[in-house]
Amino acid sequence: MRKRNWSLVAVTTVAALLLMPGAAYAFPDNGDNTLADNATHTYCYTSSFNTDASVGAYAMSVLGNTTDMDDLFPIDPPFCAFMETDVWWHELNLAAGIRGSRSCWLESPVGICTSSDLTLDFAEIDIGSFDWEDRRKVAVHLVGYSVGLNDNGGCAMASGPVPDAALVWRTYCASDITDINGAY
Amino acid sequence: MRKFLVLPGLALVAALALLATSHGDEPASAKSFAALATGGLDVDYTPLATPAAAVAAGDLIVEGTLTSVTDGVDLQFANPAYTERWKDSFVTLVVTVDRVVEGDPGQLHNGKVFVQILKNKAVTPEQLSGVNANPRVVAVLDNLSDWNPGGGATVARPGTVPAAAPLFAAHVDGLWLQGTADVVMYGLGASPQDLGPAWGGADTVAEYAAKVWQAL
Repeated sequence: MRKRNWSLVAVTTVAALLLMPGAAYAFPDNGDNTLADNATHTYCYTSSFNTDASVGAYAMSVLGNTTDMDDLFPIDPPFCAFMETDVWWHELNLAAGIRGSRSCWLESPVGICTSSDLTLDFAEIDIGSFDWEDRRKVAVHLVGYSVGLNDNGGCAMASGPVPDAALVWRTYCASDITDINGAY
Repeated sequence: MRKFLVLPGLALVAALALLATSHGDEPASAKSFAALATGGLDVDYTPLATPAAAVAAGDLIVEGTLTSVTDGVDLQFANPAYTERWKDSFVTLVVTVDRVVEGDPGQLHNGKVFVQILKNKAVTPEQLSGVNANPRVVAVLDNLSDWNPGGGATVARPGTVPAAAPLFAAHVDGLWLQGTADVVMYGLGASPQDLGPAWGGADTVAEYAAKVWQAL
């Protein structure tokens, strides 16, 4: 009897594992199914990230100040050097209307993005009005990607230029914050 | 006891069916290609709000077929760590063009365009080739001949692209793929629902191209 019970447990466990979404699916809006590796989000600047580096710090502090996650900027060395740093900030001309990109540099283990590259194209972002706000919106948007958020049409995770100078476009929606706090 | 065994058994079968579906053969669909290319990659972009905006933004707009996938450009920096971070970031989509919707046809090379897109770094061109269903394509393209990415980066052309062929980049919501089994088109970082109202609900390659034609 005891042996049969263990068989049942084993079958049930296998079925549950196959049916149950992994930890990477904790976010309803998690587009690429990866999360950051822990609740402390470290970041660094590449040497070319110099048009307005305060944009990166702003976005990281939004994450640190409005969610259960912490942001951490190691000041030595001054520029990005460690591949494991959670966020590398870059600045490039990305062409074809791309304002910013987030790319997972290394997914390891599966479902966990060890480090992300966040790239801003300031010239593209500065097309139109509200440049100060729009730069920060894109940066907050990209940081959101790096912790598992996806475009959802609201707040900082809305896609495209900001329609006005409202703070809402530079902050995460309550539902985003709930998702982040639930996962970290 | 039998009931308790049947339920997990059914769950197991359902789970396996679900897995089979998600990894099943979809040779005539662009869905798998789009999903594989964009995993681990997210972009924020300036939308092509109207067909007229697409005409204004594109150096070239074409319809054709995605015939192959090869290596993309490499960005190289003085700092080797930066080069490493950007390694495998791009792939080349080779589109055999059968209609130039807008722009100078002289930009084609032997009837083809070579389109650079940002991609999932973990995926190789060979893997993308494996799920290429040769879908129909409509593409709003920027000519990259004078592209300077800045940041100290230099652009290394892939050896698989003919030296005389211009390189292009596609607008995120201006590149759409549709296999013969697809009832809707797929984007690489955008979905048809992201298109503004001026696109009139276009969700197929033919409808998108028709909207551009009307705007000329």
